[in-house]
Amino acid sequence: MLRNLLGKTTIDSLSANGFNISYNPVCVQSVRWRRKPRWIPKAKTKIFRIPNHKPLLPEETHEWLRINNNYKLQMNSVRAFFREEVMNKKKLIAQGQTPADEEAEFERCKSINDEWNQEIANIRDARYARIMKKRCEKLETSLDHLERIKELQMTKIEERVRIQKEKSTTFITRKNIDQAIEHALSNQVDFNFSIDLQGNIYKGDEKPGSVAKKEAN
Amino acid sequence: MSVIKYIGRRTDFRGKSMWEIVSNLKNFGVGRILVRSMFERYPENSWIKILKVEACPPTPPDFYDTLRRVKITAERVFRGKKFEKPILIEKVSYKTDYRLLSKKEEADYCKLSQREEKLLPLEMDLPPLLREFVFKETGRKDVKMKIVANESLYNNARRVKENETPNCEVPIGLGTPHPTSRSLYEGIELK
Repeated sequence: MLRNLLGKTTIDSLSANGFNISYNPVCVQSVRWRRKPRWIPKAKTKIFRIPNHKPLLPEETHEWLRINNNYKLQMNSVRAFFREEVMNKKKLIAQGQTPADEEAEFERCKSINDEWNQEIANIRDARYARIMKKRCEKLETSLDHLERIKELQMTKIEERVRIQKEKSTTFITRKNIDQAIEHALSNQVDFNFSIDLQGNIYKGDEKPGSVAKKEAN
Repeated sequence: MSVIKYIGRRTDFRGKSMWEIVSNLKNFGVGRILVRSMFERYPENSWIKILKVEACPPTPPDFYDTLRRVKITAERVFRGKKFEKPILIEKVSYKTDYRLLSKKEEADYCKLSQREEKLLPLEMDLPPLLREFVFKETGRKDVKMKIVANESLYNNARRVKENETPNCEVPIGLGTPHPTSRSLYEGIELK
């Protein structure tokens, strides 16, 4: 918060070069991995400055060389020692000979491993049984549900069939088509009508007044 | 008068590249002697005697690098010890670290010398922790490991052969400091 109150100043000359340095007089946080990028040239004041090599002290150089040579010799020897050990062991294994204690160790490891495997197998079986049971229950409920839906659908269908059967008594078929035509021709129906401001309905397409009032059929 | 101002870094090299030297000599300097200034730090002299010179055609991909190189077959002497076979110098020929030895100097400079050989023992102690592990496994405390040294042809150190005694010890710890650097260990008890 204090930082916000004080505000943040940016050094313009540096930001113009492509990197920002936020400057806060109260809280100075040094960031160790932030440094001048490689594409920014050497400062003008430093361009002709050629750093001298640091002189090597002979006592330090001699001692450093001695210690380093010793270290390399020791490490190479240790590495060779281990390599030989491994090669010897490999040879024994290739010949089919394994040391007795190694076999016993293997047996011990195997028994422990088997025990762990058994434990895990028990847990796994229990989990499988639990899952199976759950699934069966779910299936049963879903089957019941399906059956109920089917029944509902059947009743709906039957209802529709009954209604259609009732209606089918009035259908025009091949047998009664002539009769129906004759009936239609003999009973012409005029659906035209007019209505006046009083709400009287005049059937037929003739003007009101010209024809006497008709009663609706 | 113009002023020379240097930029960059100081180099340890002193001299010219091989091509700069060789191109100005009669018959490309075959038979002459070159000295690399980096090897003049040793008390024994090192030099190469030019046997054959070939130019390097500029070939990609390192076109401009090859322009500065030259192929030189030479007889090499390093720290007073002469190499059995002639060597081929190509890649390091661009380094501006060579100087030509004048004919007057040659007889004085080119003298072979024999360095004292460092004879290492055949075996050494195991490191402390490894020694404990080995003791735990085998019950033996006197187990030693073979010394592996870089025994190339031109190396000064080698392991002892039969009927020889080693002239240096190989300690597993710090060892005894170099005679010139005892001042570094002032006030410290060394075992």
